[in-house]
Amino acid sequence: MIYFFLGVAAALSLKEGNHFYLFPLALVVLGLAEPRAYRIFLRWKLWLFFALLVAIPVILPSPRDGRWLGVPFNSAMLRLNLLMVERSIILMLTIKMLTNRLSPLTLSRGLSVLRLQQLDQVFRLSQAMLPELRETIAVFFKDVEWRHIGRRPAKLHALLSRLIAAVLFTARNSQMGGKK
Amino acid sequence: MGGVAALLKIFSTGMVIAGPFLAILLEALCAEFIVILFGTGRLGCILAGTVVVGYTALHPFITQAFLYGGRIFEVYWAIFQQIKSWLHLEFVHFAFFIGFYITVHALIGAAAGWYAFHLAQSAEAQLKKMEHTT
Repeated sequence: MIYFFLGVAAALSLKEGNHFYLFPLALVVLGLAEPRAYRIFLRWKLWLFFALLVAIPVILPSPRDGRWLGVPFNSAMLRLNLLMVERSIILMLTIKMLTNRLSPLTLSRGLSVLRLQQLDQVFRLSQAMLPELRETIAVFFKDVEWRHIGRRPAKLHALLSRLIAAVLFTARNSQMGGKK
Repeated sequence: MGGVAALLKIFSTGMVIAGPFLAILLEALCAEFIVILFGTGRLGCILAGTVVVGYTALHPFITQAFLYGGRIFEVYWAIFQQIKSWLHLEFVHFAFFIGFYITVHALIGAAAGWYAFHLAQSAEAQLKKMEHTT
């Protein structure tokens, strides 16, 4: 938990004056604490998102006082956007680090400590029910003829209401079984 | 229930967790608040749908303020100024666009709430039938 607060504190205190040493330091500390959190960088969508986040606000707004490879850009926006990307990277790593260490059991224990008994009970039930619900839904959709539903949308309403009823029925039965 | 759905989101495989987690939690709180005020009747469901889906139009700004800091709005303002000068638009045009965007969200939410109310009634009837047969 201490690394989580350190990560959040580092992200919030990131400024133009300190990001040259604070950002790499935060990356190293978080990397040592939870190397698995770095897996988020393997996703190409993240890099595309960062590229768009930096490129669009840097190229579009005036004054475009800088030039790189012949492309004019706004240098103040570039500094600001890099800072924001660094902040979001630290926050994302910190959150990922926390959620990687969190298991349903520890979460359930935490809810009990916080005296959120009802929430804990529903959370446990939903965790226990997930595989059974997946099976119920898979069985339910196996025999559905989508072509007929496409032609008559009213059938979709009946289908959805049957599905909800089936899910609730399974959940109730499972809960009663658990109490017995 | 929204709290449980938000907690289940923590254990999903995606890399972006904070935004959806917060969205589910806040939307559930909004819906809960509306339902406490107006009940689970047709009006309550329509209003809850309106508020919840209307909120999704605003949520990215809350998440971005958290993730990128309050200065993200400086970026928005700079882009807005640039587009304004290129297209010769006035502030009122942007206000209209934002209003239209939120209204479309709210209308879709109202329709979803209305449908959810009817679906819940049919599902309840189905459930009673299932309980009688077993």
